[in-house]
Amino acid sequence: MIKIAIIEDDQAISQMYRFKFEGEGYSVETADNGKLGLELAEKMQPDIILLDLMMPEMTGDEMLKRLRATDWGKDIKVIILTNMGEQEIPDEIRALNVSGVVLKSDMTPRQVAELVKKHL
Amino acid sequence: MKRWSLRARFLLLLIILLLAVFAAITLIIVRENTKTLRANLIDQSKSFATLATQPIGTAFETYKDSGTIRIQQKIASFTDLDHNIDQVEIIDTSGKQVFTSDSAHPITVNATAATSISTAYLYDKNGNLTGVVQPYIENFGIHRYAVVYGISYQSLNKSIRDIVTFIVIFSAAILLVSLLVWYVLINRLFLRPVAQVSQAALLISRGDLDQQIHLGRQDEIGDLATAVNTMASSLKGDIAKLQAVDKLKSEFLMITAHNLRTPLTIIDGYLERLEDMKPPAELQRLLELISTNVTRLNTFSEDALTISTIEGDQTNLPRAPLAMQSVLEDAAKEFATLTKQKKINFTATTATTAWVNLSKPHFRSALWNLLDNAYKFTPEGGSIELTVTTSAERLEIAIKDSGIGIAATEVPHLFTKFHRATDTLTYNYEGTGIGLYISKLVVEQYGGGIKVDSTEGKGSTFTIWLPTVPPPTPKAAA
Repeated sequence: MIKIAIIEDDQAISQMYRFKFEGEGYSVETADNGKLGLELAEKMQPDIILLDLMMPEMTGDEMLKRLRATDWGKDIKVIILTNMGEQEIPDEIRALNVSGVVLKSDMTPRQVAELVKKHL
Repeated sequence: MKRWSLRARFLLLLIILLLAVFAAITLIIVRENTKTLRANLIDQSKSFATLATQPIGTAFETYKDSGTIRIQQKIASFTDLDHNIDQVEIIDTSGKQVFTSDSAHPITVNATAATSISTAYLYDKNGNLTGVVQPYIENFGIHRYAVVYGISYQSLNKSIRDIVTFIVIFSAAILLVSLLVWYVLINRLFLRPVAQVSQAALLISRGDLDQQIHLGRQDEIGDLATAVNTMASSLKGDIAKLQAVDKLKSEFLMITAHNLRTPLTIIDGYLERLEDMKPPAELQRLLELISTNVTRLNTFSEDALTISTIEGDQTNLPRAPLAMQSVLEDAAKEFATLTKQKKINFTATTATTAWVNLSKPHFRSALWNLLDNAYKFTPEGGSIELTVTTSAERLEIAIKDSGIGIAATEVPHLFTKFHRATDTLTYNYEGTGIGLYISKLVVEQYGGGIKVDSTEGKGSTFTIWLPTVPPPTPKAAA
């Protein structure tokens, strides 16, 4: 079974994605901030991570940096969830081997699911 | 109306005032002098006539047989004593002239005066004394002749002329000096400070509210300056307050729009999930209706967010070079699915090599608002055409529709916030009236512009243009 970790502080959003991906037959776990997200990723070893950027405790970009610094996390596929425009994602984040960027308000879960499938 | 400056008015007023005063003074002086001079002249002439008659008569008697030259000389020696007597005649009692000092101007003397043994006076028709007839009584009371004296007013007239000339020269000098002093005074006391105040007021009206006028005066003009200063600072305070309120309003709009986004996205997500579950047709129809309205709400929140971003800070919109062809193609593709439903003939020519420095979602919403507008106002069976013109420095995108068109009077208001070209009472087109405003804000943010050409009943063409940038050098893929 394909494993997805959704790291997003807005639980309503993570819940919606969970609903979608579980419906598609994925195994889904969620975390509310970067710190918990990093722990979850290490424990779960997901195939792909949907990562929000603006979160309390630890931001998404900070978590991504730390993830890429680990042995176990350096190759996990990551899709960034954001409310910013795609063009506004800083180059330093893109350089951390990001598979895709999802503008949350612009893409329906179906489109996100298609994007995820494309990268697996 | 001709503009009269205060300077000119004050000077004119002064000239009129002084001229009136001078004229009055001249009149009074001339009148009084004339009266006195005339009275003196008449008294003097009468005395002269009384005193000179006897010697003149004697001289005439003595020399009348020796020729008139001697008499002339004798008479001249008397008349030299009084220049107002310009002529002397001697007449006999019948009134016949027997001698005259000026044969060119004989004096007419009536019989009564000629025979009178007392002094008679001659007057012209205005009642002016023109001559004195003095009987010459010889020894033993014999009265054979009378001496006639012609009185001249020339010296009087000359005196009056001299007085008038003096007054005129003197007045002119005073007038000139007064004008100069007056000019300097009104300038310094009045006009210059007023000019300073009006200059400052002009600057204030242009928005320079830091203007303060310092005249250092404790009078009415000083009060005016203080009032203007107070006005400027209170305006500044009011504007600061309004700006604070406006900022609050923009922030509120931004937070509201922002907070609408997430729940809307989530609702959208669940709706999609429900549709995936292949619901019965009736439920499917309801889901579509909900979805349409969620989309509307979404569009509104995106628009509101764009407006509050741009209005909040003029430089706030992000930007990066973007190849325009794919953006235009995507929009055209999406729009084509809409136009198909309404049986509108949509054609798009999107080929362009242009790159423009902007943010994709904002540009997309600017473009989409124009397409959406064309869609709303074009009836079924009409046509919409999107064309792109690329030149060296700019990209022009024109959207031409065969819609209802826009009245010329509406065009100036078209790009203002919350304006709708349709009459509110007959309103049957959807929309919030901020679409065109957003398009304008966005393209202007990126250094472009928007215009519209429209014929009522035939359709409209909206054109936006944007400055192009050179394509970026390709980066190595990460």
